[in-house]
This record gives sequence, C-alpha cells and structure tokens, in this order.
Amino acid sequence: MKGHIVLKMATRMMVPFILMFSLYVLAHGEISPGGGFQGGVIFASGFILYGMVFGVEEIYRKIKRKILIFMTAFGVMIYSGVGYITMFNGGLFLEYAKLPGLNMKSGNSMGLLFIEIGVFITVSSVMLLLFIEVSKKYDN
Amino acid sequence: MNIDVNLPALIIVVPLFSAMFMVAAGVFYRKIVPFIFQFVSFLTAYFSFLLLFRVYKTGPVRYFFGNWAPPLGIEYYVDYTNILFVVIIASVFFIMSFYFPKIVNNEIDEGKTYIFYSITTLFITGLLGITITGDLFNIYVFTEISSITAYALIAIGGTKKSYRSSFNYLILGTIGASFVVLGIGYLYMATGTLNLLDMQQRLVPMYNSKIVVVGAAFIVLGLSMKMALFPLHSWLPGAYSHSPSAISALMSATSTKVMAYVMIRFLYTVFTPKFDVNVIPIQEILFIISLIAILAGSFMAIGQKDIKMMFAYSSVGQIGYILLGATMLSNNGLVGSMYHFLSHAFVKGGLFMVSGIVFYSLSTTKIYDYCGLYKKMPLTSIAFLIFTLSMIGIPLTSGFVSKWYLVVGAIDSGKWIAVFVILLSSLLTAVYFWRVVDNIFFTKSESNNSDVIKEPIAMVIPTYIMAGVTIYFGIFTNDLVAFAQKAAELLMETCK
Amino acid sequence: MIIDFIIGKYNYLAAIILMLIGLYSVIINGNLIKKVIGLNILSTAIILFYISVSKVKDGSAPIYARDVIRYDNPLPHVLMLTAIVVGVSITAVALAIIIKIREYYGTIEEDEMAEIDINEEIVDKK
Repeated sequence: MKGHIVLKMATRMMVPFILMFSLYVLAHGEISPGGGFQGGVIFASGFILYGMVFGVEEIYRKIKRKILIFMTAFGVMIYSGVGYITMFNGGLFLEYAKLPGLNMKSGNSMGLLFIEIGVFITVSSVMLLLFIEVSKKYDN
Repeated sequence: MNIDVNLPALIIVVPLFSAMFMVAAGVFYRKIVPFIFQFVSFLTAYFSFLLLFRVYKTGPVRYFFGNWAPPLGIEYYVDYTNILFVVIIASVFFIMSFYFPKIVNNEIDEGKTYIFYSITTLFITGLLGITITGDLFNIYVFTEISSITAYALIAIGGTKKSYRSSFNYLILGTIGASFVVLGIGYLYMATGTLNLLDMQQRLVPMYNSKIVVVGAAFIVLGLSMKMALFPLHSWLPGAYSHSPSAISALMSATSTKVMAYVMIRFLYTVFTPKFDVNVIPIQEILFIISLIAILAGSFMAIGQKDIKMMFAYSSVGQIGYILLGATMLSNNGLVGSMYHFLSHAFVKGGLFMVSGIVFYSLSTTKIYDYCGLYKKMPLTSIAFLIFTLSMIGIPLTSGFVSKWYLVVGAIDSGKWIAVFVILLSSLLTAVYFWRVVDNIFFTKSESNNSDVIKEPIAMVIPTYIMAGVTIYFGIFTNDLVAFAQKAAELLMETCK
Repeated sequence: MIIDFIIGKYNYLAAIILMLIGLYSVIINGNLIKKVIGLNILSTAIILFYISVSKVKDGSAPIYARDVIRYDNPLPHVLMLTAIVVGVSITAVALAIIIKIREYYGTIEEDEMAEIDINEEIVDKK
C-alpha cells in the first residue's frame, strides 16, 4: 500500500478535514450527537489514516510516545481538575454552576465543554497509542 | 474548599486524579512516583477516617454529584456498613504502600514501575468506588475499572502463566460483569430508577414480577462469578498465584471481598430479605453454596505444593465465611461477616506479604523450600505464625472473634449445620497451615545453608503492622463490634 | 399464541439469542481471538437490550429539536455509551494479553498451550 501516489495525495487532502471535523464534533457535543469521545476517536483516526499510508514511523517522528502517554493522563486530569475547581469554589464535585465567573446557564454549558475537552485529549491519545504500540511490533 | 461536605467525593477523586498525575509525572521523572503513591494512600486513608467519624456522629451521609438530586443524579450513599469497608480498604492500601517500593523494584521492569503504581491506585479507586456509591450503574462502572486494572496488574508479572491466568480472569470476569449489568438492566426496566434506596422502595410492590426475579438471578450469578464463589472460582487461584507478590497481597486483601459487600447490598438493601426468602429462596441457596465453598476451599488447599496457591484456595473458603454470615438473616451473623471481612483482609494480605518477603529473599514459593526458615528469617517466620493463628481462629486474634460471631449467628437462626461446618473448617485450616508451620519451625533445611539472611526491614515493618491490627482487634473488640451491630441493625431494618 | 409472544417481545428474544451466541463462542472456542469476539458479541447483546428498552412509542431520538413532542428515554443511551467504552478497553487489554501469550507460547490455541504447560511440568519434576 505504501508509496502509491493516489493514496498519498488523497490522504494528504483528507487528513486536515478529518481533524477539523473532529473539532466540530467536539464543540457540538452538548446539543447534538457527538462529544469528546467521538471527536477524540475521529481525531485519532485522522492520524491513523496518515500512519497507515505513510508508515508508522512517520507518526512516530512527529509525535513522541512520551508526549502521548502524558496527554493520556492530562485529559483525565483536566476532567477531575474541573471538579476540583468547583469544590474549591464552594460547590460539590462537578457542580458546573459554581465555576468561577459563570452562572447556572453558562456554567453548565462551559463546564461540559471543558470536560469534553479532557475526554477528547485522553481518547485521541489513547487510540493513537494503541495503534502505535500494536503496529510497531509487526511493522517490520 | 469545604472538606467536610465533600469527603465522599474526595475519597474517590483524590486517588483518581493522582493516578493520572503519577503517569504525567512519571513520564518525566520516575523516581518521584513511589512517594506520590505513598502520599496518596495516606490522604485516602485520612479522608476515609474523617468520613468514619462523621458517619459515626451524624448517621448516614448522602452526597449528590454536581448537586443533582437522586433519581436524576448520581448519589454517593455512605452508611454504617460501607464506611467500614471503605476504611478497611483504604487502610490496607495505606499500610501496603510502604511495602510496595522494594518488592516492585525487584519484580517489575524499571520502565514500567510508574505505570504500575498508577494502575494500582486506579484499582483501589475502583474498589472504593464500588463500596461508596449509591447508584447501580456506577457499581458496574467501578467494577469494570477495578477489574480491567486487575487484569493488567496480573499480566504485568511478565511470566508465561501470569498472562494465561490474566486472560482467564478477563474472560470470566467480563462474563460476570455482563451478567450484573444485564440484571441491572432488568431492574431498571421494571422500576425506572438506578438509585439504590429509590429502587428498594419501588421494587416492593412488584416482587412477584418475572422481570425482577430474572434480574435478581442474573445479578446474583454475576456477582458470584466476580467474588469467586465455589463452583465459579476457577479464575482465582491462577490470578493470585501468578501475579507479582505485591499485587497478590493487595488483591487478596480487597478485591473479592468488595464483591461480597455488593452481594450483601443487593440482598439487604435493594431486594430486602422479604424478597430473598419468600419469592425465590436466594438466601437459602447461597447459604448452602457458601457451606460447600468453605469446605471445598479448605480441602483443595490441603493438597497444594505452592504456598501462594494454598493461600488462594484458602481465600475461596474464606469468601464462603463472609457470605455465610450474610445469608443467615441474623444480626450476629452480619456482625461476624463484617468482622471476618476485616480479619481476613488483614490476615490474608499479611500472609501474602510474608510470602512476598520470602520470595524477595529466597526467590521461591514452594512450601518444600520453607524448611528451616525460622533459622534464616526469624522475624518473617514469627509474623507468619501470628497470621496462621488468626486464620485458624485461636483466641486473642481477630479470626477468633469473627468465627465466634458467625457461630453465635448460626445458633441464633437455628442453623446448626453451619456451626458444624465452621468448626470442621477451622480444623482443616489448622491442618493445611500447620504443615507449613511445621516446615518453618521444626524441619531442618536439607541444604545445610542456615545462615541468617538480612530481612528487608522496609517490608517486615508493614507486615508487623498488619499482624498488630489482627491482634488488636482480637483483644479490644468492643468498639468495632458495637459499630458493626449498628450497621447490621440498619441492614436488617428492611426485614421488618 | 406463540406468534404473539414472538412479535410482542422480539427485541428481548434477539438480545438473549445474541447473548447466548456470544457465551457459546466464548465457551466452545479454543482460539483466544475467537473468545474475545464472543465477549464482544455478548456486550453488544447487552447494548441492544438497553437501547431497545429505552424506546418510547412515537418517540424521537433524544436530540433536541423544535417540532418534536416526545423523546425516547436518553438515560440508557448514556449508560451504553459507558458500556461501549468499557467494552473497547476490555478488548484492548485482551488483545494486548493475547499478543504477549503468542510471544511466549507461540500459539493462541488453548489446548496447545495446555500441552506446553503439562510438558513443562513433567520436565520440572525430572
């Protein structure tokens, strides 16, 4: 599959749109089907497509494994971090209305978005990590 | 931050957050991770004790996540029963966190250690979550968190057999959890709620509905699979004996017992004894099965050559004790069950810790190689003796008190066969443990190599703390028994 | 009579049949990958069960829209989102373990592995 010119060109054209679409899915998570999980998977699938066509080493060169592991943890930390902020602000865990500077309405919307961003980061990096770890072994 | 209000959430969220923090920090600087691990275990234990005092003073605590009231939102419900379990798990975790670093460095690849600590913390998070939550689906999610991490932790041992037994556990554990979630689905279909207390009230008028009966059957079957009740125990021996020593100690002290707690919750809080006894005889069936489990576990332990295998089979029997107390429908039986939870968590955890120390120094787990161990490692051998006495149920150890209350409960409810089985099984326990004690103290080692080995003090001290706890609760029983009585009364209230 | 039963409860029947297929393939297959596929079928059956329970008569998908009066119950959908994530992670762990087993045993057939284990034990005893 490697080295085929049509595949390469098509992938190059598609990947930016896939990544863009994942962000769209992420941003519309609260009001329409979608959200962090789905967006994250789409985001990772863009990179995976790139890796399948250009070889895994290409991804490996662009994103360090260490960074991926860090991002995996970082997403969950954002998630629970939002909960901590609400607790420090006098609310209960994940009580979005108590986010600083936000009220009941905007807090619920924004708080959900923050959490979805956390989920997005974790899911996309986990998916990429799975792909890299498994394919690295059988690539050569 | 108002710590007092947020305690139930903090017990879960602090280890969850720090498990991820350990990964994030470990990527850049690996050496700091064990210290974070110990600090987190301290924080968790501290918060759980604070919550214990609060529950003791003011009665059951309810915590609504995101301030959404129960039928809509997720609730954490802490009463006298589960705070006891939370405190036990958190304190076992705290004590063992000091035992971990040395043995982990010995048994696990250096590149994996920070992941290992992180997964262990996640595992404990899952167990604490199961005990503290008041929402049925949350129980499933936390069960899966603790089981998936457990599969990984067993496999991290890196031997051939550890991968196989991890896979075995994965298959059986997933089937068990699927049954549980299917049963919860049936109950949800019938009642339209997932909250424990809410469901209890809504279920009362529809006890004769077939949906509820099928749901109950699925849940009981799934939980029995997860807690390794006798005929469904086949994953347990492999999982305990082929995992790293630190993990077998932690898992044997906590994981299956938490499932026993969930079973108690279902039998008493969700279904209430009226359903368990009158509609379908769950209590009666589980009573008989737990009797068989006690005897079968003891008999299978007698023939083992590997010490971890012997402990694992004895765990199968001990789960029977915990369930036995819960199925007798008497206050004293429940007290015995809870006391046995504590006693067994500390004793079996301690025994696995001893076997870990021996493995660390001599790299063996064969009972045959324990010959003349007293000459080589006196401190470890004496710790083993204390735990053995508690397993058998000699007075002045916590094992005696728990068995005492189980026997009293059996007499209360007129089930004399249980008295007979408990006594017989104590005898069997003495048989298979005394074999090892005989090897350690009275048999001479064949290799004539009886130099004293320097015992790793950092591992011996936590083991002795575990031993101290068993002796303490063998002598000063009043406070804990009074607390357990209170918990049992609250559980039995649904009986009336 | 029986036709009514089947038509009235076909979603439960489908879920249970799928579940039994999954269980059967977990139990009967010696191949570890096939076992994992069986587990996936099992969890899919449960997802199907939950989703079919959530259906309300004349209800629309639980997404906010202007001209819709009645929605399906969204809670089971959310729960199953969690169950899907759980299923994905179980599959990932299982496949990772299978890769390792294959590395150590050179096979993923259960009876061949058992044979290797028994042979090793005999060698140990000697």
